[in-house]
Amino acid sequence: MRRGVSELTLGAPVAAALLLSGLALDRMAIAIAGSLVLAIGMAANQRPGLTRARSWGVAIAGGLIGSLMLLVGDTPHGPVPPLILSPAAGALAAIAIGATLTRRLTVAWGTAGVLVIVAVSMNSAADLVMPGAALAGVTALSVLLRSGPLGPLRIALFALGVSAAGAGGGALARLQTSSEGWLLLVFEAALQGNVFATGLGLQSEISLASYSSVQLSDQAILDVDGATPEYLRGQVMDVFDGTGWSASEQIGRPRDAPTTSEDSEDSVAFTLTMLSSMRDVVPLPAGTANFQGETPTFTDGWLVSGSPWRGEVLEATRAPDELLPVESARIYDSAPNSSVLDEAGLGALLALPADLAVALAPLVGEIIGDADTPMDKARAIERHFITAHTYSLKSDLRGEGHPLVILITERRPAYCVYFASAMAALLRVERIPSRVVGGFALPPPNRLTGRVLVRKRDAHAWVEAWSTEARRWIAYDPTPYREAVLSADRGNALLEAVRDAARRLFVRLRAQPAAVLADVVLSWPFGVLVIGGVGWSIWLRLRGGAPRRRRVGRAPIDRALWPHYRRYLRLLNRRGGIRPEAWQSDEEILGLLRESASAEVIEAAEGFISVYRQARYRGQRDDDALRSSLRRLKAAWRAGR
Amino acid sequence: MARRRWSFFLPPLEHGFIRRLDDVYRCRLTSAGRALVWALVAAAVLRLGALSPPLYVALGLLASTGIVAVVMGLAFRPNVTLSRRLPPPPSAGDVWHYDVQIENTSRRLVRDLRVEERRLPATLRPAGKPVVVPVLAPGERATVRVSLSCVRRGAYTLGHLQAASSFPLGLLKLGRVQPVSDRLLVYPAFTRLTEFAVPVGKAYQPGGIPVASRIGESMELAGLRDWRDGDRPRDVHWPAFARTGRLVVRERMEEHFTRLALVLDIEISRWADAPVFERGLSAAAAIADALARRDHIIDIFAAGETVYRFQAGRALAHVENILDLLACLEPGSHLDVDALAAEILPLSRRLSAVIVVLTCWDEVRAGVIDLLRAQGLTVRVLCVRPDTPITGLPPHLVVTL
Repeated sequence: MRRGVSELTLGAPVAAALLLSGLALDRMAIAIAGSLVLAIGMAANQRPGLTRARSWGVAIAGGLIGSLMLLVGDTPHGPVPPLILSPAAGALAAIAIGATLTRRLTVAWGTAGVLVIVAVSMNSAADLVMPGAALAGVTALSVLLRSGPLGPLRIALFALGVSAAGAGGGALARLQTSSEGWLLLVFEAALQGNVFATGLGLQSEISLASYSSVQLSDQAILDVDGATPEYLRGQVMDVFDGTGWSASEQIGRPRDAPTTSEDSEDSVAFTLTMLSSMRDVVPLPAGTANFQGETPTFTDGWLVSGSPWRGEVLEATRAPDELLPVESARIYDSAPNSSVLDEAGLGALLALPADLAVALAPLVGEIIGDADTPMDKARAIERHFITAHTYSLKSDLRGEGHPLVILITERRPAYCVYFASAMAALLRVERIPSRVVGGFALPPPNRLTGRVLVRKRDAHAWVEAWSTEARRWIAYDPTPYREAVLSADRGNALLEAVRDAARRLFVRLRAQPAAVLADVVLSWPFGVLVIGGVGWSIWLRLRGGAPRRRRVGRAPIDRALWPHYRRYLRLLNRRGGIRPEAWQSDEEILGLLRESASAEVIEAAEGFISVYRQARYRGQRDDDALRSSLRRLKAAWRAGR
Repeated sequence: MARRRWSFFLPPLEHGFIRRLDDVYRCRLTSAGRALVWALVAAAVLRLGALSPPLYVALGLLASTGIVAVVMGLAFRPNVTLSRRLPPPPSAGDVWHYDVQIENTSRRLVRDLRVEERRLPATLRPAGKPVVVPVLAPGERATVRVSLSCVRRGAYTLGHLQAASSFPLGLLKLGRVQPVSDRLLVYPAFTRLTEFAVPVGKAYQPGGIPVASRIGESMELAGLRDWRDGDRPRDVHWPAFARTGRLVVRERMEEHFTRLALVLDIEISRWADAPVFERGLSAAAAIADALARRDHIIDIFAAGETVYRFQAGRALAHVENILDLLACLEPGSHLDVDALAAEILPLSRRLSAVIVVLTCWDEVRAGVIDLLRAQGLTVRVLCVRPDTPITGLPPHLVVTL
């Protein structure tokens, strides 16, 4: 009876885990079969002797069965690709069954736990609440029965613990749903300021309130590598009603790729790593010619539609001068040679409320001075704002009149949106088509890596004005110097580089673990490491298998004694013609000497060796005695001649 | 021999970090706790790439269970005193069992108590599952058996004994580690030889060997001493008795012994040869054991860059003392022939035979054997490295075990 309970406590959680994973992975038939094998094996009390090789065999067999199941039915979608999931689940199930039958509790339960976690990570597992609860109950009961003799105190405390764990688990799960994941919060907090941000949509409308301020956010948006541009365009707003800017329908319509080939040899390449998801548009610089290996499909505002997700890596090339393409069709054909575009064709690009136009008309003349071409006028206005105004994150334009008029006349501090709006309005007064562009102005690159981290605080607005001379939209940035206000404390370049690399890796790992793994495996350092490791292993094997090469040399002796001993060897060589081999001992050398030398020489040599041994092995070093014994040896040889 | 150098390819437990992880995994987690940890790790890893509701519910439950187990377990940590009762030392490869006495010194019951050794070296591994003491009342004593698998010979210190309880959730083993220090010698593994043939003619030992002397059998008179229990009446020196009134016996000194030298080559040039060195030690232990059981004096020379000499046999030292020495012997980086010659040659006239246990066969070692033979010594040679067979010696000099 007792044994039966013990078997039950061991096998029940594993069987429950098999059934739960079968439900989640839509492999119920194989899960039932596995559970039956388990039940029969436990009932028969069969304990197969699983050696290490057999264990591997069991795991491989399970993996093969899981692979075959790929042919039978679809695998639910989840974070693990089906090609990996199905064999892995099969192998885990086989290991769990094998370990249960051999009564290896840790392996059985550990494997079953991992199998359950893999199963519940599938999207289809959302309705497995009741089976999951049943599994948790079975497991808790098994742990209780195995933990020791049951008594009221144990049962009460166990129930209390399970209740507390359930309540705590619920709270933690709720915390995860309310944020992006509590487990990641700590890590993300170390990497970026605003951890609760959930992506970004660039504003398609800008309102010009009399009083407003900007809150800077350190949320990382993207990382730029390669030929870093100055600006990334994200939104174009061409409709101005006096209170704000918005994008017309025309701006979002698809249009043909530029007729002039910008994908020339001068094109420079860059890479964007998205650190936040974005909606509707891909932030790209003006002059982008090639995006993800293809000519991109533009909208009318020369924007590229898309919703890049967090962790995606985008590759593109652009013209080095960041100029928008030359326009050659549609609305501009109405006045191809005119210095001022046809109003009917341009529509909203010149629209301006009448009262604002009246208020701005006397001001624009003062600003542009004697400039006569549209480009000169635009440059003059841009220069005016940069030199005569100051930047502030807080804009207070309350007073009599339109905020833009107050901005220009009273030269109050403001931020980029107001300067861009004011310039665009002034250009429209001069009947130069203009629009406001939203996007990012890129901060200086990291000195070590050359990469640029773009944060939310780098969001910016500027102006694009139509140039009849160049037949294209030209960008102007009228915002005064703002680096002192906006620049983040970037600290040490090395630390920033490490932090940025960790952030990129983390985001990519989360979004594309398989792609990161593939990148690592296909990278050259990994190849070198593998080849080096294999070579080293082969070399070790070859070296281990071959007879050991032994360097024959005299054993190192005390450095202080070596000069005396060397003199002794030289004497033997010069006087006696004896060249001892490195492996010959002193006794053997004396033996050689006895064969050829006189009794006096032998006696003197024995005397030296005796003194030498006293010094070397007994610690009774006497340099004078060594020298005198050598002198005696030398004298004995001379006397012999 | 220098300390073994660190390499990434060392066995896992040779890495300190992994050994510490293993120590915590083994001694702080029950089987169910280990399963919980594996599931938690899997959930955390998969959670990085997914936002599936069941997954974060599972992750939350697992993490919460772990936290609750820690909090509840801390309240039931046992407060006991431990002491080991050590049996004779084991040999390498043995599973060594010893008892640990537990006394509950606290005022409350201790439940589900387990005693385990912590911070063990890679060559001493716990064997079997720890015995569980279900309940231990205040002041009560219990004895549990702890088993260690001794992978390699050596001198170890068992310094950390843990008494931990898995009550109430059965997931974690929380307790206290006590600094109970005991020394453990693991002898080299050897098989007792039933026969070891070696020429055993007696050699004259001028002046005798004091500790090996005995009363009565020898010819040389060493002196007189007082009667001790067990002395024979025939050895009583009656004139001295007449003079002093006390029983005085004649003490004679034996000057002819069978004295053998056991030379053990301890050179290994790289750590891959450590098994060969261990094999040499095992062979030396077996030979020394066989010889010490006879009435011989044995001089053991451990020859590396330094030559260590140890004398055993008769009343000088017992087999256990020889094994103590061999247990602590570390390999040397090279064999210093001169140092060995300086130690052994002065004894050449007193030695009946020299048994040489070599870790390989090469010119240097052949030179050593020639040197010993040139002194007229009877030599027997054993090489424990199978890929370097002994060549150039008459077959009767080569020993095979």
